[in-house]
Amino acid sequence: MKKKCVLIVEDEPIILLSASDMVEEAGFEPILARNAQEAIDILESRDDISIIFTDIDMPGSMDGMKLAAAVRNRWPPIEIIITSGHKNISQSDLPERGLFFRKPYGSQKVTQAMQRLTAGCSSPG
Amino acid sequence: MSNLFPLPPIFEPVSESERLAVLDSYDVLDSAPESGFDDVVMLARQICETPIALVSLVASDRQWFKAVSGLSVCETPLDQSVCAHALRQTETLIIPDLTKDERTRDNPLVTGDPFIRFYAGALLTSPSGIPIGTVCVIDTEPRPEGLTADQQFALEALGRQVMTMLELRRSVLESEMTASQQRSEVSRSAARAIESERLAAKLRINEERLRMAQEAGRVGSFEIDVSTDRIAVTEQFCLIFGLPMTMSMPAADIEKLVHPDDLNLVSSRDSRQKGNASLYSEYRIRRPDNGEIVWVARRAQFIRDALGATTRLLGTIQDITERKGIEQRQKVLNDELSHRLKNTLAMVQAIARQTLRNASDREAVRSFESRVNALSHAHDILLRQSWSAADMQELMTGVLALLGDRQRFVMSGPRVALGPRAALSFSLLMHELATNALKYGALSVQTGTVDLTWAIEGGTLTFTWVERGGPAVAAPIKTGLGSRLIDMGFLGTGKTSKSYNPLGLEVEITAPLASVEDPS
Repeated sequence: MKKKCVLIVEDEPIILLSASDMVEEAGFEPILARNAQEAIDILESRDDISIIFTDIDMPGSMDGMKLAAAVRNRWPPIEIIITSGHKNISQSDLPERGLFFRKPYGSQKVTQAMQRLTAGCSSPG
Repeated sequence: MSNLFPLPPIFEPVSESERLAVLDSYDVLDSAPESGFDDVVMLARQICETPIALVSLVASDRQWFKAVSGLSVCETPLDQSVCAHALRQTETLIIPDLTKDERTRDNPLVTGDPFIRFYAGALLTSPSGIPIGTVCVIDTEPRPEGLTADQQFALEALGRQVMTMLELRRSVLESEMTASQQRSEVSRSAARAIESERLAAKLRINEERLRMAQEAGRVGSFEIDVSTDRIAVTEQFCLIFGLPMTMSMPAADIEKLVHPDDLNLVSSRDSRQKGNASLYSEYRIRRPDNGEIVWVARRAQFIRDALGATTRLLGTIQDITERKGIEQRQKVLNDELSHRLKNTLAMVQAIARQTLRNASDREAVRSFESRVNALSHAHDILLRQSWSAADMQELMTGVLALLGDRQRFVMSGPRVALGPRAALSFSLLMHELATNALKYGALSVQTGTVDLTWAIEGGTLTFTWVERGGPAVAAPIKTGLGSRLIDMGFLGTGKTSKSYNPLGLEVEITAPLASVEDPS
């Protein structure tokens, strides 16, 4: 069975690579984007993304929060996980069904959340 | 001479000798000029728009001027004194035309040089209610209209100010006297007995006022009369509030300037009457002159009558806008630093993960990541207190939540504020204990629990970790970093004892409280 795809959006290369490994180890297929515009381009070109995992602070006109809001609006079934080093993110700032993890995040907590979000359909891997 | 105007009844709750004893207790007659009193007469002249103002003290044979403006003498015989008449009243004496008043028309100062015509004198009354003199204003033209309400209120406020200064002066003299050992105080003892009780309370206020004045240059003061609800203010007060120079106004006029969100922080008519207004508060006002928002700090004190009812609220106002601005910038800076630190820690994690990508020991990578998380969490809690202290239980709860189910931990102990270094050290310790329990101890099975208790006794903090309901335990053969960290205890200063009870691991860690609380 095809692995479920997680779109990772992160401008810091080493963190992007690390997140890619983390997602892969958890049994998903990582798709990488280095900013919000790349992420939008990917989302427009394919329809197999189950989760978007995005950083907030990124260069360009669109940050992670705006990206998340756009995803919730245009691709409602996609699950959203947001991460940032900022501490002042409250549930009300997040899109519907959105999750937040403060950087540095525990990889186990994040991958468990990914598995929980995609459970109920076919199992990954 | 017929008595056309009957003299007002003489208010004499005390004998003249008692009154003179009170005056004597201030030890002010024939003292050198002092700027505080000189300021008062200058203000009185300006406010009441008269050429002459005096701070006059009425002694047994003369009236002596502690401060004088517009006259070249510093004392007069008692028969030339108008103030002596003021002392026979309970209220401010105003004589619009001295030539027409029975008491003063033959006064040499009225009939001869400098031909004074108008007099208004507010009483200087000791805290026990004994009049010792006046602060008065004098004009060489009659004034049928007397003083305006504002002028009279201001003159009376200045009178109270003079008394405050006299008492402050006396307390300074007294402390000097104590320092140079006891000189004879016999003549004053009688008067002191009358004064002492109320004076004690008053002096505390004076000291507080003085301290506040020294603390910062820009301090305004105010005094609210609870019964009339009018506020008397100083020049500096008006400058801070952006008000036109005024001496008094309804307190409600000031309350109108308070920022709507801060109205609960200021005193109200009700809280002044009940005496439950908060004595220190910081709030915002909008200056009416330029619309700017200004932060002020207000310290205040109630004055109560013999029955305990509030009569006045007096205090100081300080502009703290600058400090608030610095605090705000500090917070922004802290948040930004924290954000960067978090991102750096995230990168450290990622670097470790990528560097050890092909390492066979995946467990080591996970331990590393988990330890960085525990550290990062302690940082969060410290940041909330601007890196000054972190609550011990909050630290535990946070670190343990990263690893396990909150329900499995039972915590009990007093509030302990750990200093920044101890907080970081303790977070790692918690992390190692919990990680160990997850791998080998009570948390490795569904039924296990951990009891965390801590206590302070004789300056020592004792923390215990007791696991129950896990598999039977035995001392490990090999010791890893976690185990060694646990053995180190708090910052390397404390002691750790570990017991491999077959029922579950028991760890007791002690440390001198001073070493873990100290924010150094």
